[in-house]
Amino acid sequence: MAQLKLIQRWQGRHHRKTGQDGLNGKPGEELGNASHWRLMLRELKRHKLARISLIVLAALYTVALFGAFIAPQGLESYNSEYMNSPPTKVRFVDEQGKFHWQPFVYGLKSERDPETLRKRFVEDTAEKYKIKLFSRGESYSFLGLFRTDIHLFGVEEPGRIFLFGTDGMGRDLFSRVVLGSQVSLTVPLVGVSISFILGLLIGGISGYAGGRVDAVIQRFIDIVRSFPTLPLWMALAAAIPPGVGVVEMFFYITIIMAFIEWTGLARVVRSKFIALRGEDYVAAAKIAGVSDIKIIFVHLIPGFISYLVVAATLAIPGMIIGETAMSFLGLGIRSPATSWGVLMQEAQQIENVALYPWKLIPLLFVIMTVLAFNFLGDGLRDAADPHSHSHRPASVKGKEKRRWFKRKHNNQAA
Amino acid sequence: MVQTEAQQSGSLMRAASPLPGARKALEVRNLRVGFPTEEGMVQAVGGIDLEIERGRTLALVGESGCGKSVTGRALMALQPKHAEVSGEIWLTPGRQEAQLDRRLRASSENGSFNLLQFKPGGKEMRHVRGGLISMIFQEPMTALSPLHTIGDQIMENILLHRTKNRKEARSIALEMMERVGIGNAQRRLDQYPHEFSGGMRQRAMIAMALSCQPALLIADEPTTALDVTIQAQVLELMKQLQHELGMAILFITHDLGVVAETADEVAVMYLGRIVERAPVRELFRNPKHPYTKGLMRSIPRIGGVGGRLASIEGTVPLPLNRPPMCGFYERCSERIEGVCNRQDVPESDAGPGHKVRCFLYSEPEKKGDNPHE
Amino acid sequence: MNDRMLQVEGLTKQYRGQRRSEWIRAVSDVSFDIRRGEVISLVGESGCGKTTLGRCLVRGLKASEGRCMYYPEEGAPVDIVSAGHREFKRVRKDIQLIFQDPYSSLNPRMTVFDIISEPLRANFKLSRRELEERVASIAEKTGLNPSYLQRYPHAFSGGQRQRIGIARALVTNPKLVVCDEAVSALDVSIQAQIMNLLKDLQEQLQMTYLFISHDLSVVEHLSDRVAVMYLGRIVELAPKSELFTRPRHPYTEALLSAVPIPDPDGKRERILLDGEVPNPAAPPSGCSFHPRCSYRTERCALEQPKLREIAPGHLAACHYAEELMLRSTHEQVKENVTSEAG
Repeated sequence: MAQLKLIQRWQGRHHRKTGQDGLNGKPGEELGNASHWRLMLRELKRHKLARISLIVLAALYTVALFGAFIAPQGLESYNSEYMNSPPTKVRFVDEQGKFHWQPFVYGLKSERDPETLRKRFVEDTAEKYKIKLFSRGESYSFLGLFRTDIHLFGVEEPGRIFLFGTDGMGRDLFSRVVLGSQVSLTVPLVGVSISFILGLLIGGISGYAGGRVDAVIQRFIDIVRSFPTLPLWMALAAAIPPGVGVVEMFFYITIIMAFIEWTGLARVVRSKFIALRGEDYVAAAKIAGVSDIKIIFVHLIPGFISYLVVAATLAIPGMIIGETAMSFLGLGIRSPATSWGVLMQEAQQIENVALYPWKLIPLLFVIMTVLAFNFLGDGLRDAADPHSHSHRPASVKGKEKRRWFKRKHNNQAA
Repeated sequence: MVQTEAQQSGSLMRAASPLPGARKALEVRNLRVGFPTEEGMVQAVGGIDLEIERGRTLALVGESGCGKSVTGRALMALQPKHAEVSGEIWLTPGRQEAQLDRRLRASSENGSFNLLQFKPGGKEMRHVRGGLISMIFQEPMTALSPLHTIGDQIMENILLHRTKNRKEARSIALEMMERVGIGNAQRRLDQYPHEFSGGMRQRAMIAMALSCQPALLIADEPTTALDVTIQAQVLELMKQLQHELGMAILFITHDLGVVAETADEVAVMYLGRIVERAPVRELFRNPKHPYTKGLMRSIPRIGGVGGRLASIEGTVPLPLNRPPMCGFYERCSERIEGVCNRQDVPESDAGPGHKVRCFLYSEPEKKGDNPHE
Repeated sequence: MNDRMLQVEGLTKQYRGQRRSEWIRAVSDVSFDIRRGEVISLVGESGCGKTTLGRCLVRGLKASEGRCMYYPEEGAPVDIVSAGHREFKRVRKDIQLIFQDPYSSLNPRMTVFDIISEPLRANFKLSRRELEERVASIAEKTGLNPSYLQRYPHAFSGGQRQRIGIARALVTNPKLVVCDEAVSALDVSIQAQIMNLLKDLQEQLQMTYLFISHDLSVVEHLSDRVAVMYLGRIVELAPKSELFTRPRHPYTEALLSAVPIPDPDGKRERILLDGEVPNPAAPPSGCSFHPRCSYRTERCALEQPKLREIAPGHLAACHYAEELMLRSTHEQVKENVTSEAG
């Protein structure tokens, strides 16, 4: 711990020195003028995992935004002929070993397995359907702007393409994952925004007022946090009137999630508030005669907002899992509307795992998203205090590096 | 003298019987500690030589960031994992070989060993740490575990290095506590660090550090966090214990007043190098290096003349990718353009036991000349 | 007379302790005055209440009892303790504080310009141009390069940061500046730079300093008068030369003898105090210093000594201030040095 402080001192030294007209003040000369957010961004860019996560998340959200365009099928469409079909293989090379520039798929024939008598699909090499970009399919409303029937890709009729296979009702799983992401990726964002505001407000009041108000709010938070979440969800979900539309359902779920999540953020806000209130520069502002309101907005809130962003980012995975769990329990979105949780609920029988493993693909998306948010949050957390570490040791690798970060973080917390 | 007194006292704390003729407790040769960063190597310690004799105190003085604490930690192999350390650290425990650990005995050369040959986390080093070299820190609260009693923490060290018998360990701990002036030791042994005041905590730290009769005690700013009256008590205590136990002390500090009171020899450090070393009186009476002179002039003295203080302009640069040149060049008022900033400064003699690293006292090496011819 | 600037009378600051019923007196019943244009120092060990006292004078803390009259150059005096918000606003710009820690006292998220101009913006209505002019002028006076004002504090070294802190305190043209350990966190060579700066600025801007420090050599170097605090009370107050050569309180004597002298030949008899500063929640009876005092008598444990004038301008709170022959070991050192030099 002490050694780390020492290194930080070295680092701090160099950092400070860059602002002066010393002999070797060349590297990072511009850093002296860098604001907190710019330093934070610079630090974040160095964090490899966070960078990758950011790209992954950007891709996922783009897909969600253009969901209806990317998904070849709509929510309502199903085809009982193609129940439980495995993922269609996209091919470039045909039977004869001839290479085609344009990918194609074979037609599907269903037949019975002579031993198990199960229905299974085999490729019919006689039929060949080319995959076309911007093919016509079901009509949908593009971003709510206009109606169109052009989709990103499709195959010639009567061919079928199921990139992730189909479910028990013959619905294209790829389309459902894409459309489900619209719910699964936005519920947490909206939920976190609501809890962000609640947390900032209630945590701020708690930290600023102190005394009895603080005690009451803290005990209230304790009570909220001590509820077991599952029964709470069930109770709240039961309170939602039956037969509500998809949009309202979405709205209710968000509120339920936010109601639980804000407590954590409020705690962060409160503790940061109290810590910053004791800083000398706040005392200096007070002595200089700056008003309380101004101190809050000029010194206190900017002081912890970056930590709050970190906390919020790290709260998102919990919400994604929460939404998934609610839908999985059948408390959330109901078919035919979908989310990743709904898809996982549909895949929950053991036979699916054994016979139709592709139905677990939504799970991969949940894991990927949760990990991406966690890594991004980690990166943000390391970057949140850019003043103390502009110079990271170069040769610290892997585990060593992580330990270093962790200790550094503990240092800051202490 | 020192040992005979201790032997006569016949206490458990008898100083370990020394080898005759072994005077030097520590000898450091060309020690370097570097921290690789993304921008290059930060050379915190850039090749220093140190010597401390048994029963003597060497003060390592310098401002923050000069590398004095890094040096202290490197001697204990406590540097951060990614630091690069090179050079030689010869420790002479000054004990009969039989009293040493088997592993250490194997690697000893005439009763000394180079600590840098051991792995920092290895068994040998663990024997050296706490057993042969101990350290006390500026803030005892961070060095003591809040979860264990003071007694347990002192005994832990004793059980590790001296005896396996808990009862005996406790009696040694008790004696140590009394020795460092903690009254009512029997009861205080079972108290926790938070029940001790700052000065008492530092005393407990000293008791812990000295419980295994180390050959060398590294004191890293041990009194900086204490008030003057308490500082006076602790300094007095350290002097007295050194007299009784005969260990060498490396006293790391920034306070020239403390140096004048405790040290026998002084080494002044600047930007990772020792710029001047001399016996304490010689250094204060006859400072040579411009940095030492500047430091001496810039401290306010009680009973001084008042008026303006002479200050050293500028700030300490960072030892990052520095070409071979004098570290003090930028701030020096007596610098020689084209000499001091062109080459590494060698150490030269400036009197008996007085060495200084400055071109004002030595001829710069001329290009093409080979001094070894 | 107009040379009195601040008059503190019976100032007390108490906190509630960990137990509800317990009151901790950080500052208890302190009275002294500050004269216009002088440097008066408060010295004492940690926990003696010197910082709390300083904060009360700038109204960073609200004193529990007592008065603290500030006499502005024009207009009626203002009691800093009891003045209303409006009334205090009139004099606030006159009294400023310089902090100890050059790191935590500057908001890392504000530019140097915003930091220095903050007191101006809070106290005056100035146009952007006026702001810039005043900030640039104080930056120059404190030795900051005005072209660096748009930088953030992290780009500066400890000494530079302390200059920023000084510029912030002086930008409103204060008359009284409380320097709370303003040079304690700095390295020796930087400390000298800042001490010189403070001294120059005082002459240039005609300010009065209340200098709070634990470092007697710094205090001796800068001040005209010195007040020694122990456990929330002033135990001795005297002109600097008086106090350092002829201390009248045993605590001052011990404090002086404990300061390490940067001279290996400056050996002197040291008075080692027993024990440590008592817990302010349960101060000893009578004279609060008596448990550690080597001159104590029965009377000391029973009766609390008043701070009274022993010699002209020399106040001490000891029953035996007149009788005790206390020494200043530093006087001897000085003689040693001069004799050797001569």
